[in-house]
Amino acid sequence: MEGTVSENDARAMIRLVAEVVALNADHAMAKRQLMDGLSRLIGADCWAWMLAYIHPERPPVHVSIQHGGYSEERFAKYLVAIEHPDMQMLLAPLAEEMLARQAHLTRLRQQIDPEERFLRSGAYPFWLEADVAPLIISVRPVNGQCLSAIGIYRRADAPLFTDRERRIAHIILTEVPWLHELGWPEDLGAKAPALSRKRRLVLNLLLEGHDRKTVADQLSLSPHTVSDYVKDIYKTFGVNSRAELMHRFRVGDNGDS
Amino acid sequence: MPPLVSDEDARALVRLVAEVAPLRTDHASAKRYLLNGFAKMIAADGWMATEVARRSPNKPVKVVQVLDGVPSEYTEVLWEKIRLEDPGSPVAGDRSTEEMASVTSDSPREGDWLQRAAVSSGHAPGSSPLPRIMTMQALETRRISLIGMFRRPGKPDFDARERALANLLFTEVQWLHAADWKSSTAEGMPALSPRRKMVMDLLRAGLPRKTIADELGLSIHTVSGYVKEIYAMYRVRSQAELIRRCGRSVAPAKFSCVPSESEDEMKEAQTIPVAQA
Repeated sequence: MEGTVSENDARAMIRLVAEVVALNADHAMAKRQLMDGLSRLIGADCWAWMLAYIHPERPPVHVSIQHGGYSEERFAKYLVAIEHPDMQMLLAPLAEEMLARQAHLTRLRQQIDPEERFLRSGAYPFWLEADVAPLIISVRPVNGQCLSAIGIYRRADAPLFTDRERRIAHIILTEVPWLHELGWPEDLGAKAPALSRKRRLVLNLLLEGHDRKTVADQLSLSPHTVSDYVKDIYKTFGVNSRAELMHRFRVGDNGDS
Repeated sequence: MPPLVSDEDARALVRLVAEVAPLRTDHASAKRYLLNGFAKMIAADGWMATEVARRSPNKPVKVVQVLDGVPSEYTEVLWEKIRLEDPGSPVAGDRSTEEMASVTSDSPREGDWLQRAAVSSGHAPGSSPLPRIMTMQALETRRISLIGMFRRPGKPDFDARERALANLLFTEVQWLHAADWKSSTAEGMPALSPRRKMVMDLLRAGLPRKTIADELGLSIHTVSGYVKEIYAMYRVRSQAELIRRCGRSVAPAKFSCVPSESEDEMKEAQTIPVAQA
């Protein structure tokens, strides 16, 4: 029925979120547990979270932040697949709709691409190589031209996700805002807004392990500008080195002593 | 056709539970936050969450832990009633805790004692019913978690939707019935025996050993032995450290006098405002 979920699904969602809350874990761990739990709930095999900056004239810059269910080797193959130029065919209309409506959208592959152009695209062999084909993509606008995207995947020979599974994912991904953030609001909330969009983007690229030169190239900025941004970012988070910055976000102490 | 929940209600509950995580707060404050939020959602004027225990079938029940949330004019009479073993009370009644595994009810039987409690004190108009939703869940042997949501006398009763939502939340969020995060996740800390757990809860409420001994009908030496074991288990050396580590529980209304060393922590733990009309 339209506008309803089954009681069992509602129970499963509430139980999952409550169990994650009870872990009383740091942000990265809480997020991982919730995404792993959501994957179990809807029979998904793996998931990945990325932030993207949508440039009006250029392909978007994707930064993969966190993923689960993938082996390292398979994740590398997945990155190649999602970066394939033909993926724009699938992702661009979704990003456009999201920007136009400024709404959080969660879509099945078959909804975005009812004619199955995906299966005939140049990207498809790479997805097969990564052993992924059924997918749910959820995109959420962040600060105007950035977006948080969460992909949920199944192995290539598994059946497509159903609309029921999409709605479960949509409810959790829309109602748990911290799934789209880099830390708890108390760690970041007061500070992150002080970072401009460009600085946030630099932060994300730094966290991915890119050096200043690569960051500058990717964002079409001069290395000096990037260096200034990096200084601002270090100051904001009270760290003195890249290693410390990574530690804050990755190890997950997030400033909590 | 299986029962359905409106999209909007499912979303609101998921959102409410998820809001607790970023607070990074202790278990008791998390409980309070969730119950305040839910009270708002179903337009309840107050709530109570407590653990009660009965040492043996024929002995009086003991209130082990209570979280505030009840408008203060009811607090005293509620606990008085439970202590007096009102035969109509679900806690003191003859049902075994095993039978009570997760019951949500607004039946007259569960509601009556609460109503009479309010009425007998003269705080509420004699004829007005007190709208309520009561949930009981058996914990370990002879301990029951009791969560109630209620409206002021004279207000309309909770409807089927509100009762269904209470049932969803109170049965799926298991840590609402637990005394700490760990005991609801079945892993982590070694389990304390029921009696040590009672002592632990009263310690976390800031009560001195003597009061704990009196309350539980134990000798002060026995209590001291338990306290030593509890400190060793949590690797702490003082009551203040234990509270800092495990979070504060709120003592039953009777024990409103709190040792001064813990007063600051008490204030800290109660910064979330209580839902009241």
